Amino acid sequence: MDISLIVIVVIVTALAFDFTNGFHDTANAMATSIATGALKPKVAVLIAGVLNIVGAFLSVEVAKTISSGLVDETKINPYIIFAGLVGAILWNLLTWLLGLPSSSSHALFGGLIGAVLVAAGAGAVHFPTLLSKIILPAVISPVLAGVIALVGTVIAYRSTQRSDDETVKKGFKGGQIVSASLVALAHGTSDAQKTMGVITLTLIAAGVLAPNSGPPIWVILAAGLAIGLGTYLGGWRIIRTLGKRVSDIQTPQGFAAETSTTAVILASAHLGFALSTTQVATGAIFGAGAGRRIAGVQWGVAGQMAVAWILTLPAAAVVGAVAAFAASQGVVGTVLVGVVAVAVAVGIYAASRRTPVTADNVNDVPAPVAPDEQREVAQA
Amino acid sequence: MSIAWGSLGLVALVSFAAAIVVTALVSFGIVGLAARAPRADGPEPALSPAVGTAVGAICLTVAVLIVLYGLYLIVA
Repeated sequence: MDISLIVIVVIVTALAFDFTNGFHDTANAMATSIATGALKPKVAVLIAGVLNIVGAFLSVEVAKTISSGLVDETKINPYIIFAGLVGAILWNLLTWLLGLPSSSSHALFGGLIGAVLVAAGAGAVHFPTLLSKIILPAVISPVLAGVIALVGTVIAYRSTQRSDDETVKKGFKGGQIVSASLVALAHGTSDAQKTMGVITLTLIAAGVLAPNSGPPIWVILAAGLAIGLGTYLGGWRIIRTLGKRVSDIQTPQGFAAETSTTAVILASAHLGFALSTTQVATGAIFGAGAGRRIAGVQWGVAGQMAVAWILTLPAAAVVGAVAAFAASQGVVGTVLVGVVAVAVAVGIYAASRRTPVTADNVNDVPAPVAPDEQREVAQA
Repeated sequence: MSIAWGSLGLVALVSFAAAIVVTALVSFGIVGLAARAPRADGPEPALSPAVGTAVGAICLTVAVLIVLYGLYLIVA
């Protein structure tokens, strides 16, 4: 039995996933704050990173299941978790390269589903749960957050349009910083928890920890630091997409979008219908864009994101399935999966260096121009 | 298959109400604060300085309380 090897591999892979999760989701909290200049890029990611770590320590309730009931939990073993994590990490890296926000949890679930399909057959996947926990929320969450942000944007502009410009800008900047910080904190409590759950359940399965025990302090520390570091390094490509490519976001819109995101995430987390942070935040930014000028929103970007969201689960599932098949062939297979995964990750990173997006150039894209503005420019 | 339409509706309602109330409170608070110190070349303020200060203080205080409740929800 190579239990110790696979357990170590799972822990390292889980922390790597946690890192990409933070890295991918910085944009949810901070994209609009960076785009409007409410926070300097490096300050924004530092705040988000620290709050993610704080959030990891605040959460008392660690995930009890790895897949939230999507697959038969008794069929899950360390090899399946490893394969699922590999699928999720590679999908997160690819969407980051393309600058597309996509749900890290959906990637993880997809990877696990693919791995379980190969290892235990279709009977071990709970398809009705898939519909009610993944597909339905994915459709509803961006629409809900978008409508709220749209109404909020209209209120913010209408009520303040006859007031002093400077005061209005400063006021909404302050509000935006507070609401963005709440999103970052909520992210730390919910997403770092997932990694802690994966590691803890693996340790329990391996007999290292007693059943039903909580995560040891080193697991909390490692998970918190991994997600915080990922957040701090910042997925600048996704930040640019959400902050600049969706619409020309101004301070009142940023405030309305972040407030909508915070309200939807907190309400859904506490009323039992968990929604994806990424999809909520993205929907809110589109809604806030439309609240000022519908024509100012780049709906083509929304189309690209929709495609990425639809592909997330199946794509991660395919990688997870292949990885599960190889990893189940023994030590050689497991090592092979690890080596190939690292090679692909390095390749994606190398590809990203050709057009680097950093804290210094994240806002350096021309703001999208609406068609009627283009005419005005042309006539001028 | 059971879709929890009830809790879904509740999430929609509560998050809509909370976000709109906070956005409106902050907006009105800012309108109030802007009326405190009107600039000569700025727009005519909608409220007198005293009323503006009061509106600003009340609205922003309530908004802060709601944010603190949000913080409590995250921590608890």
